[in-house]
Amino acid sequence: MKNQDDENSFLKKVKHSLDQGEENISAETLSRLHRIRQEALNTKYNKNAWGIKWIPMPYPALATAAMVLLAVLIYLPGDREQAPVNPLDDLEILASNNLDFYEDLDFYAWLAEEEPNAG
Amino acid sequence: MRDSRRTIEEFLASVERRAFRMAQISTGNSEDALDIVQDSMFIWVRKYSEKPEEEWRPLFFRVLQNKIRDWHRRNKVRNRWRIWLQPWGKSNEETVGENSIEHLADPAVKEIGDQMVLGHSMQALEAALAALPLRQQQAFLLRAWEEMNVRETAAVMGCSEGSVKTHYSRAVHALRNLLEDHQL
Repeated sequence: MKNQDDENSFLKKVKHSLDQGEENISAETLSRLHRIRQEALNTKYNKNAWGIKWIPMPYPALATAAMVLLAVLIYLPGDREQAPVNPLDDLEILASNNLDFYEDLDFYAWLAEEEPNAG
Repeated sequence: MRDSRRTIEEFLASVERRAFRMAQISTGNSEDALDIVQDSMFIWVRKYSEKPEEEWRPLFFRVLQNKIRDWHRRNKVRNRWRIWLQPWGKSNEETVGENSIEHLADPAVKEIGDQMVLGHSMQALEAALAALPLRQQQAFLLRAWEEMNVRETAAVMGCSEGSVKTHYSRAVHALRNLLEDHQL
């Protein structure tokens, strides 16, 4: 019981500290967050201004990364050790702008499950 | 249209500070944190702003947590290649472990004890949080700070409820140990 009280007290203090940190964000950062928010909204409500940012460009990025990797592999001395993992896996991660492809699936499974219990 | 924009803007304004702080604590870097928040907002607006409002918050934090995880993945890969490409470097130094990124503690954060001695409770807390393995850190921040329940946290983190309980419990235990001499 005492242990649980201690834990609750600890968590309350941690939350308070985190809240304080949130309150103390600098004016400059807040201004940048405001700008980011406006830009995000513009992608939806003012597509001409910002639409170009969202043209999907995986292939140029992948091609550039592949060329850099190839150049490195060709020009490095031959006695170097092998890369510790499959380079193509890393290439995919480095070139990817969208690793959130798995976002929806189980989230909506959860929502569907949650729905009958709602309100 | 205007009302819709205002509603979305109010929502984004309500989450942006916390999103920034979560990303900042996790990456230890304000610029990267701002980039993560920017990516998250753009993705959320593009993909989820048409969803019912009650789904917005968990969806936003899911995008954010995925972006934070992506950042750690990329960082890990970059570090691995940087080490490998060092011309006279210590190529045998396996500074990057075999564990998946979810179980790695942030190497950028050290000297927690020193910060605690200095009496900077906020910095000590941040350092302790950043030192947690990423999945523990996420579970803790979502449960203890964002006050999500286990099921919501599991959905946001994309893992089972059992995993959330384990990560959260370990995080609380680790934080209490790390901060026991402090005022927290």
